[in-house]
Amino acid sequence: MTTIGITFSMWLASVRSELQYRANFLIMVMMGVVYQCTGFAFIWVVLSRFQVVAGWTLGEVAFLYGLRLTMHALNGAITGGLYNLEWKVRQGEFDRYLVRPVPPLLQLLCERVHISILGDLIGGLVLFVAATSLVAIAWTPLALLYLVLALLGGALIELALRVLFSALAFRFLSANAFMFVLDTIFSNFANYPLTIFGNVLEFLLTFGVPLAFMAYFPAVVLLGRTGELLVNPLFAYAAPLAGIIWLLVALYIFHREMRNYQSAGH
Amino acid sequence: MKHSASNLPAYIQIVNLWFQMAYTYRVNLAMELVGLLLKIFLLKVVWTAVYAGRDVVDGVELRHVISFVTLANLQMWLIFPMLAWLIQERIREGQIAIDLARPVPFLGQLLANQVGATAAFAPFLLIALPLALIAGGMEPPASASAALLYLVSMVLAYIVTALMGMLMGLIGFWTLQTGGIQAIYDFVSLFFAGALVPLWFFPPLLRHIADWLPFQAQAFIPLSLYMGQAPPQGVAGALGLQLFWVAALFGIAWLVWQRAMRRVIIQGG
Repeated sequence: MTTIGITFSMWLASVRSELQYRANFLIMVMMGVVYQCTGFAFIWVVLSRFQVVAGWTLGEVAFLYGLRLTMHALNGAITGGLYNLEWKVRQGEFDRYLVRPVPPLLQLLCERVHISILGDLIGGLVLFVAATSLVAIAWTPLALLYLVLALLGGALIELALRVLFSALAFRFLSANAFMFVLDTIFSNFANYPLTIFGNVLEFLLTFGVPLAFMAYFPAVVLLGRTGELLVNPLFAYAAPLAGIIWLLVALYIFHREMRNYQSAGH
Repeated sequence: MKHSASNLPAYIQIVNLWFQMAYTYRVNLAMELVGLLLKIFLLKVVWTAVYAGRDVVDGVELRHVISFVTLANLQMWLIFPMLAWLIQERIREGQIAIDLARPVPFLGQLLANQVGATAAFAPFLLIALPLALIAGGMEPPASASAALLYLVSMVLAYIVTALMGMLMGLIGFWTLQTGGIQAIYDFVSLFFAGALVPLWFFPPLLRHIADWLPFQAQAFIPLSLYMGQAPPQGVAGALGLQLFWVAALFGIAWLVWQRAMRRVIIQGG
């Protein structure tokens, strides 16, 4: 219990430190909104000319996009500090995390909150709400529950993969470049119906990198498009579970890799 | 200006520094190119999906669209407005005072940095080129004269980009932070330069906005010439438009520069 209490107050401290500079705070949030809205502009312009991509209408793609953006924002609230790991390991500064009474990974996760994620959240929610008016979804209690679980599950998958990639820093002293590529894949490929990639890549993006489990599977379920899936629809219904499984794997590997930390300060 | 010849060794030194920098950060640069190739690949996949088996839409073949967006993204990467980042860093670290006090003119230093960065990054692009052919696709220029026009147009595109970078950097004299502006620029420029959706597919209103912005001078105009498709203004009109933006941006940058210098003096006093 104390661990959770301490972790939460550390997280709050990071949020407070971001709020110190009001003007910067507003600019960063606005930047997040503009950046995400313009990202969607590409899809909007293409579909205003071509109407459908792989059978998906603008409303359906917007639904998928909004879903992913919202889970990305949720994940961003607790992974800002992972980008610091590479530097801490190089400098030997990770020592400090090892001697404090809270698990090192938790300290790292709560250390920094990039406030621009609030822009992602606003952009994601706006897009999501706008999209739901364009598509017909029966919002039964079960569908709502599935939506909430899927959002959390998607955020956990992104968390798991970021933790996994950041752990490269212990052995190779560099991780950020790989995390950057990971972010590029997520923020681009996860916004489209995976059928456009063809069967081989769709399979890889399902079981290699669990991209399909983030927003695509939940969107397919909620939009009633399970007929287009390559895999058994049960995988899509169980998508929220994937986050937990991948997180357990990531935690195991992160802690195993942590033993490679040499405390040298290169 | 009379010292310009004696300043040459200093400029060569700056260019040299960029080659060292590119070598030091080769892993980061390589990863940036991996990110770029992934984006190009995604564009190819999306465009192929929306064409949905049709060969021609609005008189444009799919392979030409793919070639267009592939080349556009590669060249936008190469002509990245690094001065925005450079000036901002110098202001943030307080180095700008030393830069201004150096015997070599500041604008000359900026020019040397811009040229140095491009020269040092270009080899990375050459390595990425064959991979981009696989990730995306590339068609040869429509003709020898199209290739020549493309090169001329690219020089102008490069100057337009450098001036925009300088302008963004100079804003830092007031705001001290230009990271936000740069991030927005990154997307807005790609979008309105036509690097994601060639401008001929834009809806009328958006096309109208794009026509009034300087970004089309960065990719859409050079690549239209490359494809042998004269833009609506005609070949001379298109190059003229690029020249207009060079002149206009240079004028604005010069005015902002004058004001920025006064601002530095005020801060110092």
